Amino acid sequence: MMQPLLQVHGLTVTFPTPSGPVPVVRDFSLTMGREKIGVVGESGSGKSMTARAILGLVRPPGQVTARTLQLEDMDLMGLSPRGWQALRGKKAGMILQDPKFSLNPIKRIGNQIEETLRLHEPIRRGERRERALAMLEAVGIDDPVRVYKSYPHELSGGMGQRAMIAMMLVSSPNLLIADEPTSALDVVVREQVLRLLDTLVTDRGLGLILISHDLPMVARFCDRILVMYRGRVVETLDARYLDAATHPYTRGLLACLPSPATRGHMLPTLSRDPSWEAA
Amino acid sequence: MFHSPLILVEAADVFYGVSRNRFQAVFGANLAVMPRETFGLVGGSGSGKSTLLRVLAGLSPNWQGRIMIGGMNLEPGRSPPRAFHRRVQMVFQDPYASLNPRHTIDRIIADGLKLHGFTDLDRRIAAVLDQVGLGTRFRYRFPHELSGGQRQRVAIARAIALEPEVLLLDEPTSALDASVQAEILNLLAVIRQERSVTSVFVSHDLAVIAHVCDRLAVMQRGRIVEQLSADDLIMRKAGHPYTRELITASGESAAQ
Ligand SMILES: Nc1ncnc2c1ncn2[C@@H]1O[C@H](COP(=O)(O)OP(=O)(O)OP(=O)(O)O)[C@@H](O)[C@H]1O
Ligand SMILES: Nc1ncnc2c1ncn2[C@@H]1O[C@H](COP(=O)(O)OP(=O)(O)OP(=O)(O)O)[C@@H](O)[C@H]1O
Ligand SMILES: [Mg+2]
Ligand SMILES: [Mg+2]
Repeated sequence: MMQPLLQVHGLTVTFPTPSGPVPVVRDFSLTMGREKIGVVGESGSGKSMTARAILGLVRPPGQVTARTLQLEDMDLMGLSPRGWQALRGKKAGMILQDPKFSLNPIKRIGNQIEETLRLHEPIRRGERRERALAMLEAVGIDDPVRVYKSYPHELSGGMGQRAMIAMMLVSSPNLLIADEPTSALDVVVREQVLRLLDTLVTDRGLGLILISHDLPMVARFCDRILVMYRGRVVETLDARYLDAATHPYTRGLLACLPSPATRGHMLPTLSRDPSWEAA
Repeated sequence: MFHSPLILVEAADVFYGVSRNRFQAVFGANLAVMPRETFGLVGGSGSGKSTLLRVLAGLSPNWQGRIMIGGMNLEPGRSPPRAFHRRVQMVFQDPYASLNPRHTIDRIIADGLKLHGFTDLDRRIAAVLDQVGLGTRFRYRFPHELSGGQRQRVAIARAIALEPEVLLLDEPTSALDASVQAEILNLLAVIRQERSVTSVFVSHDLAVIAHVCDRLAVMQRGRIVEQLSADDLIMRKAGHPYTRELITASGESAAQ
């Protein structure tokens, strides 16, 4: 059997508080190949923290423990800071939820993309520029030359997201975790970016974890969906059979969506029950 | 009887930078938003929605044209008086950048209240955090100790705490799951019932726009290409090809 791309067992993230450590991710497990995994869940349920933990990005005082955390044949538990850095540059990449905040504020977008490119391929300067511009165009930027020369604060919310996506794509990782990568995109550009990601999964054999609050979008795009609630995965779904969802949170999510029919009315809300926290 | 608009924008051009580096982000925008109306702003990523909103909030001086809000004329190049910011509050698209990283949530909300002469801070802060679904547990945390959607809710709490007449909301629910989004949209509806509030609501989610707005404008590359009623949006009666493209693309993603 082929080796899985990523294996995670019993991943837990805790933060210390005056009344003892509080878990924000509890016993997360996932074995994935070169496929598209969607992660949805309540705001604050631990989606970003799970992603950060997988890539060694949880900052102290956060504490990460796991029984297994393995990327291909590499054991990630006990990796040194330098080891993590090397891993993130090459084998794994993450599009963070606040992209403008995670880009370098004092470097032009073009230079940031080229720097990533240079780490991966020995190509000439002129060609690097061409490639960076082509990437910006591929993510739906109309005026790549201006954006190439811009600093992060000079971009709109959605342009920042796309600059970050462009940068990740030139680094061609084996595992890409994208945390709400399309939340600031209009629907037309969003479809374009999703198609681009889809091509990469197919052509380069990349594994993708897509975190999003948009359940219908995730269901359309991914193969499997994990639903998180208060730190736990409470349900795993085959994306084709969303209707098979049984957890009250997942079912409730679909019922809360606004639509023309809800106009002028209050939207249904969830009455959250403590028993939902049991996986 | 005819009312006059509470927000009036005439032939507004908005720029970034000066002289050779000047970039024009908005071209000749015209808008009229009536009192108590919720007006939607949709359009392409990078089309100038946030730019226009920041000008309306009196936070961006580099523009020309005519803008009137609540009977007061904004002047290009000049910051409006403090009282204006009490009446007109904005929720930024990028909550991380708009929340002071060195202040607790409590302090972030308290500062606005104090600046504008509110009393009874303790009760108000607790109430407003509760309204956005963040209990007292979060009150003394720093912005980096919250999730993306929790930060977005702090930004909403800070704005509504001041009980403004005009709310400028830039993608206020883009980082929220449907269950929390529903709670926030209901909260905004309750606020509108209780007080006279006029809002401009930016979103890329046409279902959200159709749910909350009376009318909307569609922007593409710095221009308002069409204005229509929410009923027209629902009936798919759009005049401009770009609006139709947006409606079709949302339909496709909603259909499955
Ligand atoms: N430094 C910290 N100290 C204590 N708790 C924290 C810290 N950082 C995050 N948390 C908490 O951890 C929980 C999980 O956060 P995470 O960012 O993973 O949520 P999320 O599922 O990504 O939510 P969202 O959809 O709103 O982005 C949240 O309840 C958050 O308040
Ligand atoms: N500080 C700045 N300096 C120079 N250009 C800027 C600045 N801020 C924004 N722009 C440019 O103005 C244009 C409009 O940006 P704006 O943020 O208003 O778009 P938007 O419609 O809100 O997009 P999104 O949906 O992606 O948030 C973009 O081309 C952007 O690059
Ligand atoms: Mg998150
Ligand atoms: Mg914007």
